[in-house]
Amino acid sequence: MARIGVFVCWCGSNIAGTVDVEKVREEAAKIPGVVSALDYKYMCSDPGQNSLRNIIKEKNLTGIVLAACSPHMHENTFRKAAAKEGLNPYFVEIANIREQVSWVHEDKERATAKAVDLMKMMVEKVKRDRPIEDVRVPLNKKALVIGGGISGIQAALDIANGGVEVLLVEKEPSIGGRMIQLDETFPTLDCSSCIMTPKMVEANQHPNIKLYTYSEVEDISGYIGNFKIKIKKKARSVVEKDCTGCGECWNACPMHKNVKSEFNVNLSERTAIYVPFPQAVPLVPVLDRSVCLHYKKGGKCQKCFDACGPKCIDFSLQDEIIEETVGAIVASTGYDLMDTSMYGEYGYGKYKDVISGLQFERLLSASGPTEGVIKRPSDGKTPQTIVFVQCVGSRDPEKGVPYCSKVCCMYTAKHAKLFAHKVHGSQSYVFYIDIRSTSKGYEEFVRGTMEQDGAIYLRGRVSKIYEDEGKLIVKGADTLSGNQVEIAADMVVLATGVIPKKGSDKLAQMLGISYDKYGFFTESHPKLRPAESSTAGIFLAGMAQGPRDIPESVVSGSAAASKILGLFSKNEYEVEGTIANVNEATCVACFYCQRVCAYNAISKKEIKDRSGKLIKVVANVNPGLCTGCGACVNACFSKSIDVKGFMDDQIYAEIKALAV
Amino acid sequence: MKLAYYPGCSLKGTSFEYEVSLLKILEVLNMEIKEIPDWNCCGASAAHSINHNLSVALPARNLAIAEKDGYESVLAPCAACSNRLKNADYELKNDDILKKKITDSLEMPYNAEMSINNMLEFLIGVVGKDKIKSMVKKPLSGIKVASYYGCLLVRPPKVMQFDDPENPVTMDELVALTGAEPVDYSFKTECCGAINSLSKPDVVMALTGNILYDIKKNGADLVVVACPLCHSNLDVRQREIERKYDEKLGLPVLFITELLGLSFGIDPKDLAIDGHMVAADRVLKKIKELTNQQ
Amino acid sequence: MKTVINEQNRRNFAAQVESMLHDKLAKCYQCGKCSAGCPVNFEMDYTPNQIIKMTELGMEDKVLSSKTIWLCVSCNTCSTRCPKGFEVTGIMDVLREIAEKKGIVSKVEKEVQMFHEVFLDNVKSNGRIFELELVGKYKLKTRHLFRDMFLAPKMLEKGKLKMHGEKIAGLNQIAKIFKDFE
Repeated sequence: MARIGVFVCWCGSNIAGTVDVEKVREEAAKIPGVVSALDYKYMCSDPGQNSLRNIIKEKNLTGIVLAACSPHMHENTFRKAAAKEGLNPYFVEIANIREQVSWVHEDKERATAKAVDLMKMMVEKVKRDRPIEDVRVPLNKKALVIGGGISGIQAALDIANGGVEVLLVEKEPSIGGRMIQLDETFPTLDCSSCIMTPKMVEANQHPNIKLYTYSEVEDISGYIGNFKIKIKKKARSVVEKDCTGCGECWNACPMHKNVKSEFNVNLSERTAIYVPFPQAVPLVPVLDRSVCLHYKKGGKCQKCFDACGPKCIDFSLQDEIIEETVGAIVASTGYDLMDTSMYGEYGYGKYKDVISGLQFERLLSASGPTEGVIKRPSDGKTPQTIVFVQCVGSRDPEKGVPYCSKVCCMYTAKHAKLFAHKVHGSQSYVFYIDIRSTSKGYEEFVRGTMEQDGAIYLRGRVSKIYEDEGKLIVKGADTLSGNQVEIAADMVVLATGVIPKKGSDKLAQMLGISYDKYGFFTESHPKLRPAESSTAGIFLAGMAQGPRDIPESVVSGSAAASKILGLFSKNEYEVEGTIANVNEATCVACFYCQRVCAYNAISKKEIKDRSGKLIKVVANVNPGLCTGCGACVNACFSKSIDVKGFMDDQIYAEIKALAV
Repeated sequence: MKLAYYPGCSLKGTSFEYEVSLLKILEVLNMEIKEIPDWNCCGASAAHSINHNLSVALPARNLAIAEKDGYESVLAPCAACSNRLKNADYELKNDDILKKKITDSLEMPYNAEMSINNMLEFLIGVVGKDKIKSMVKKPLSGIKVASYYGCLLVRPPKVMQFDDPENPVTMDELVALTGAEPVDYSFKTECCGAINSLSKPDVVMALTGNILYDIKKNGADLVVVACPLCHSNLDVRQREIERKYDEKLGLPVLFITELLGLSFGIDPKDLAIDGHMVAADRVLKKIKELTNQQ
Repeated sequence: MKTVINEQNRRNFAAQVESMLHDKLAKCYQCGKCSAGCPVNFEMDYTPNQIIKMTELGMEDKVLSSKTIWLCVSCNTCSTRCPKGFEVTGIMDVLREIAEKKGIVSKVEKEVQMFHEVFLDNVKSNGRIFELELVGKYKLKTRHLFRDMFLAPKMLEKGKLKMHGEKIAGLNQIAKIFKDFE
């Protein structure tokens, strides 16, 4: 015989202000099987929980119903309290009379009636609850980090320092990501490569980190604790272990000046066999087969091979597939810059001296194509006047994206500052709409660019840029003075907006994590679970989640790492027991359930007799993957699947309670 | 396909050269267009400036007549007319309340299934590059031509659905077909001030001057346009602009139909090139010399 | 340069403009790209983005008697480049139409306004434009009798000015359209 306790929470005035809680309690007491009914100001408080525990003990309750806030808030709290008194935690049901009643209704009488209904439904449900055990999944304590930029490197180092083995996979020939392309960093002006290279080297030398550069994750299956991954290690045509990075090969390559350097954003050329930049990690070249003469001309050219001392160039190397099992993943794939050639009015691509912010970084950088001397791409002259245009592509729902790219205000202020430092007597003009400089030291930095370094800021956008007698004429507006302005510049730098790395949507689909309409990975909760993806065991870091600066990227990398170390601190991962359950006796093996399952949680299972003879094939639920969504329940023709805690008889009883 | 022709007021008046040359080249191309019977003025800028409903109703009458007569496609050589026809068509397609108001007033239905072509769309899309190329008898090689598009052909892009609004190329492609050399410059789609030509001549001369001097600087022998309003400003006002800025221009302004006609070997007189205010004699002489050499 | 905002008037004016424009004034975030590219900005008393803000604030008198709305040549450069897709050119049409309906005559730019009026009169009476009559009436109305007169002889010589106009057969239809919408 059921012995049910009902607890009605006031939630201060949150519920009690709109719902007559005493009435709800009185109605509860009338229901057969309810042996105790109580209302209390805050059920989640310590005294509230204590009285709940006492009543469970005193009345020897077999199930409890809380008429309170959403189960998202406190289901766990009450389950734990019940478990402490020896009750199976799944004998706790919540009637949500806050989010679904008091917060959304005004009429007290009708709200109370609805609260009573919801409470009654849960009483009928709890009477039919069966004990459920949580599922425990063993954990493979190894992590995969996808993307070797600053956030990925940070995550990898933190995990590795926690004693866990890490695979760091990077698509490009070297780790370092976007940060290694930058010159000096705001607001402290420390040199990016000076602070980045030690981290890259540390990642490469760390005993717990296995580095896969020039590699891509090709396939992922499995679930938290047990992800099976395939990494494609693209053929480098160089045997890594033998290479000394001496450079004889790329010096010998006849293909110099033929291929645009990706690392220098098309401002210089590279050879077919190349390292993207001198501090590359690993310092092992990659042979770009799409342009190499050896491959194009049937093996005739082998100048690099001839020049190589340790003879580590191997034209016959093939792509390699590496299979690994990991327990957790960090997705930190970073960002790209928007293509600004859609702004015909700005002439990017048409005028050589209209460049992007990242290109300007390369012009500033000592390791860049001009060795840090600012020179115009058109004629190599040092510009005296530069116009910087902010929000190119950002905050532009018509041609670009509606969001703010967050870093452009700061990097533009930095560009104007560095330009003033490098070219004395020069002048920069910055067109902006709003200046966003909200982190520590940022506002002071921007003010310094104006007050000490003399940059002129104009509040407005630019409408057109055109060339006239060797100058770029910039037509803009200054809305503060209410003027249309024209500036004759030697160079124009567009603060190009950021978008997710090309292909990150495909990766998200492979990982089974959600992403927004721009392709940025979405967090499990934007405020409270910012490091978690929508899928258990997969964590997020860096710009792949949205625009952010270096400190934020580092923090997010560390956050993902700490989540993984926390997860790996136990040997098993607990999954809620409310998952699908197959009645093997009635299952007819049609496998419609398998077709509708979004999580690949259903497989075929063979049932054999003692002699090993096959009796039948049935659907089998993988508890590590099942989320208890119930899609299979609807698809099952023979009514052989139920989700534990949501059995058919329970649902019908709830509906009947409503009808009475 | 039956092709309707909406000449508009300018082609029957100040820009008669445009119509003469258009009809002439179509004759050579062996193509037939039919004037929309009893067409009326599209209302031009005046209507949309002070009376939105009129700006839809006036063009709609012409479109409805053409539709009733079974035409699927209208050619409006005047950029302003094609702009207003397309605008009206766009609004009627997207605003059912307005559509009811307008068709009730016209007492004619309009299904808005007409394809409305400006001159360049017509030449590229309906006539076709191959056909034009095959008619070029006297290639104008060595002649440098700047194509001026102005506003009305390309803007607003959402309604015009024609070429790149910042850097259009269609007219340059036609120029290239004639054998002439297209000249690139920065002000292809800058406004010449068209509608305020009579009411704000100073403003118009400033805007048109900018365009003409930029074209001159880029070494063009002549300018081609596909808009009578652009033509008026660039051609009729050119002498004044020269006087105002005290710098010679001497840039003949031809309609694209005239340039095509010249490359087809049609006599300039039959194209009414002598109807322009800026004499094209020097360029015509150059063309004659060049073609004689070929 | 001070405006006291009357909430009721502000709302009424903004709502009227928005309903005619089929667009929201709040969409504009005042980046100024419209003003940056406007070819006639140099003659205007208020820049286009200021006109939008002033409309939102309900500064009806200033907006409707501004030079800006009449100087706008509807070239659509602003709307084409507007990052928010706001109908910048459209708002100028709307404001002109409101001014015209209220009988507000621009003190400084009345010629433009008069030209539009004379133009539509010409359409109303002929169905098409008779250019010589249009120019003549416009000159009489503005009293700029001799402006541009030096162009006339050569234009006549070139055959650009027709001496008589045509009237269309369906003038009654045109009259009905004007009656319905004027």
